[in-house]
Amino acid sequence: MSAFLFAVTRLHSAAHAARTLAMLGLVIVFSVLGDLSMKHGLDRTGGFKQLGPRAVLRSVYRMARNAWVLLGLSGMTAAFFTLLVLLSAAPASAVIPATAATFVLETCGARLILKERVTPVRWIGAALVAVGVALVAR
Amino acid sequence: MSTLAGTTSSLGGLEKALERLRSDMRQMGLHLTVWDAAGNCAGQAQACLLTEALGGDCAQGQQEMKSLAGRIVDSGQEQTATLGCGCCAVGVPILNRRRVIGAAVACFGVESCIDPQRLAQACNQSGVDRNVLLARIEGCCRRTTQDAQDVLRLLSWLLSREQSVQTANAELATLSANLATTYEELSLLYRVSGCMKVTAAAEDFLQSVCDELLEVMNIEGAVGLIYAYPPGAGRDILVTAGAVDLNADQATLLGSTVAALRMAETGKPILDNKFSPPASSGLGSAVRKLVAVPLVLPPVVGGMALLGLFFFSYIALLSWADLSYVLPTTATSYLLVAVLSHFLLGEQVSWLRWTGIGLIVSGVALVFRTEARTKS
Repeated sequence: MSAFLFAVTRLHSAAHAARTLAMLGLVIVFSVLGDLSMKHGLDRTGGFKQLGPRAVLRSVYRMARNAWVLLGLSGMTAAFFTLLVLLSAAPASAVIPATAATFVLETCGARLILKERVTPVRWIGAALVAVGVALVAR
Repeated sequence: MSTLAGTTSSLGGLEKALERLRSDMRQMGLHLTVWDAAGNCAGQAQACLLTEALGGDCAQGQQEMKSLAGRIVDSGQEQTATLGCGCCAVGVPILNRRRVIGAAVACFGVESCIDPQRLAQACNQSGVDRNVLLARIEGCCRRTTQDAQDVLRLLSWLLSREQSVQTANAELATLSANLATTYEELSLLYRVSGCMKVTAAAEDFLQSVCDELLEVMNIEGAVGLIYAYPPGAGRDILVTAGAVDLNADQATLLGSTVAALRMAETGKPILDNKFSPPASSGLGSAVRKLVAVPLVLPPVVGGMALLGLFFFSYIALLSWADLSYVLPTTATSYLLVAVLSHFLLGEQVSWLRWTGIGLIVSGVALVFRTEARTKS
């Protein structure tokens, strides 16, 4: 995150930097919201139980009428496109590490909102992954 | 018509331009002769307009103009003289890189040139009516000696205009020749840039390409334009190197109207020898030759299709397992990206990056040990 701030301060103008920061916030908010509501919707509709062609079609039909799934889908799509916009405004080596925050936030969301059982081992694993992602794009 | 045989002169390729200038000035009732530094008359020496109208010999006048030209070449200054026939002659030096290479002398008749005795003699010789002859010579004798300064200014202005046109044409010709001979190098550069992995920011990369072009191709200036295609897909980037007299709008117009569209259709570099810029660009004939290469970018469409596939499997996976399980384990993609870019693209992976990959792998291993689904 600090690396992202550093990279952002080297951008052309204060307005540009503020826009980029706002865009990063949108990416994180959209992907957290998208993933959480998608998972909630999938839990409600059962998701893809079987993978036969007819079963998949039936699942898609069922999910397409679920508001949570649709919300999740639009959240993930919005996150993807805001990420694209962000990548065109700031270097990838600054953007990718900053998105590592979503790993921590979404794990918290899964624990608090979705009531998943996040064991200490999983907490450590998620934290390791987040730190690794923050390092990997340098 | 009396003539003085013209000899070969050395005016640095200006002869053609001066010939054009001579006919222009003739329309204004001025007679132009051009002399090189050695005192040779450029082109076919012609009698002055007055002599041409009346007939007779202009050898005397030519000699006087020659000596005037000699004085101009020696002094490097503008000179004015009155010739024996009554004509007024003014001359300016012709410069080539601050060196006097010759003189341009213009002569024009004044009222005192209209000598009744000479007119009568000319009537007898040619059998033309006196009034017709009078009207003819009044056309070239309408100035007075006071006009000498004006004619001098006109002459030097016309001369400098011809010379700058001449210089510009010569430079364009050299530039065109250089570009044509190095087109092969350019297409090589294009092929290389296609294989090159752009690691620097686009602007820095383009700048280095332009600087390289200046070095390699020995040209005066280069403009690099990354034109976002399709229009509006991103920010246009313009860099210049060397002596370039284009503003951003003009260069962008060049890129957008011609280069980008044509390259997008063919995907091939453009070499246009007879390039005419769009009228709205205000470039006139300043740009005669256009060379453009497309920059090769990863195929976006293929990337989109892969992304769709990823999206589907991600949703399927999410419906079978916890979000807190799926999310960390899909970070394995970072490992794949690093390994693929190392082995397929030959990219250098820094130790910091390997550390990050190690952390991701150990984190994923930890998450794998937990139960995939904790809710019923």
